[in-house]
Amino acid sequence: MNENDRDLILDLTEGRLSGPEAEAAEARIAASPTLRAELATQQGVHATLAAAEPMRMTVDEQASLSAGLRAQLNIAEAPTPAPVPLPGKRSRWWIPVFGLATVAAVLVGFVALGPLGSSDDADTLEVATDLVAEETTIAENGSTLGRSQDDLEAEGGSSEQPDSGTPPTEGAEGPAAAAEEGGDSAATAPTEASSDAVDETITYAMDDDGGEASVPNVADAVPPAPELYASLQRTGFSTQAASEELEDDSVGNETVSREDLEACEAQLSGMAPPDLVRVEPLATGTRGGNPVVVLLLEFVDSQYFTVTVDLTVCDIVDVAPATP
Amino acid sequence: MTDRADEDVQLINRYLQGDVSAFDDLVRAHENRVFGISLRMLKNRDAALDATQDTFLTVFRKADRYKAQAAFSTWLYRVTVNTCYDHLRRQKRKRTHPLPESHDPPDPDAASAIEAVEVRPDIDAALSTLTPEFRAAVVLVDLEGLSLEQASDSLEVPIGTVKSRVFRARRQLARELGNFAPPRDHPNGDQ
Repeated sequence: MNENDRDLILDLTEGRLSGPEAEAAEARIAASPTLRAELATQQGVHATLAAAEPMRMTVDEQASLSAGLRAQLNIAEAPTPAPVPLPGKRSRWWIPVFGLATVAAVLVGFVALGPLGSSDDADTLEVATDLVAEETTIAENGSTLGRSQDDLEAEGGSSEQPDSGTPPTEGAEGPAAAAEEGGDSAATAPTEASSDAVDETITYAMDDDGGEASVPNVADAVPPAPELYASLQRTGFSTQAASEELEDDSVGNETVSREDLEACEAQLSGMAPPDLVRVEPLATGTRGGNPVVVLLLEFVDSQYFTVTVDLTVCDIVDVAPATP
Repeated sequence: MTDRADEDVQLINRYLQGDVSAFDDLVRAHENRVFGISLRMLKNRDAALDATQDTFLTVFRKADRYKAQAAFSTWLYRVTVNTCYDHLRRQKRKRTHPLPESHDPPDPDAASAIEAVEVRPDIDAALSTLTPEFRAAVVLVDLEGLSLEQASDSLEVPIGTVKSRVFRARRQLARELGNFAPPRDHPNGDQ
């Protein structure tokens, strides 16, 4: 059998010939028992294989593949609607947020120093956001961010301003610029996201000489870390920590014991999402009378979020994407 | 290009622009075929799953190099087959000190239960007797329905080579499957 005969058989097997070409090929093959047998063999095997069930992945295999690819490529899950928080349901996403020593220092430092600023002696900046559920008053210490010097040294870092490592805010419209323009008076800088939902307000109180750029701008863009974002929205981590009062460390109208803070930190530590690269404390303050800390989360894909943690209940009470 | 090919190009472009949903769509559209080729080539679901993941990793990491002149699926199958070759080479290296029974012919009964159901042991056993190059050719053409030209592109070999591989592979499979009498003047089925 020569190459031409082979090609004829292959073409006939795959139905690639038609009309006069097919007729000529069939005539040639019909004249040769060898070619007829060969055609039958080729067509038989081809038909058998073509009729074989296609291989399909199981649901578990698909999930495994997707998870593996996302982990390898640092791709978050697709956005999903934020579920309604279920009372008492724990969301473990934020364990990594507190898995860093920084947070422990922030928590402890917060208690040690108490609210370090107030609206009386600091520039006040209001950032409207549609993602905030309650009015939050946050006092930010421009130099230590609530961390004691011991805490800072323990971290091996300096008492750098939070803006030194945080993403730049979005243009001059951001709260930093507004604060500069506003001087000692309150300056309101509604973001694009808040244009149609300004019923919620965060108030940042800042020292005159620093920290402005660290205040994140709230973005309306869909965060490319949607899995995290979705899980951040699940604020159902509502286990009430048994709070023990510490007379000297009271914050606002509520008190949080050092033991509770340490328990909270321990509760949340241990896991870290692969794409979380940095946790930066931005501010401390009170919200609904409870002490809170605001953290900036940076992810490997240069995405940023701010989360507000109620230290009394050891719970996330607010989350917002931050725009570099 | 076909609608599927056009859609693939759009998905690749969207992925390169940071659209995460494009990643999902692209994987979902092709995962079963990539897995199917891998499973036919490697004969083991875990290995096939690994190869599928490696294939998509390669594709997404090199997505910026994809040129739309060729169909995305052609490129994808090329990566798939090459990934399977790599896996087979690694398997071979691991068998530097084989167990005695490794020289025995493949035993379809030894396959896992899930393979027995889903891979059809007769075909799987027959395929396992082929060299990886012949197996890849017949898997793409007969099992995945690629044309000889598409298989040539995917395998990066001349079309004449693909024809030869497919032709000879079918002959060998005919003997292995036992359902088809080889031509009388080629009792061994080889050329």
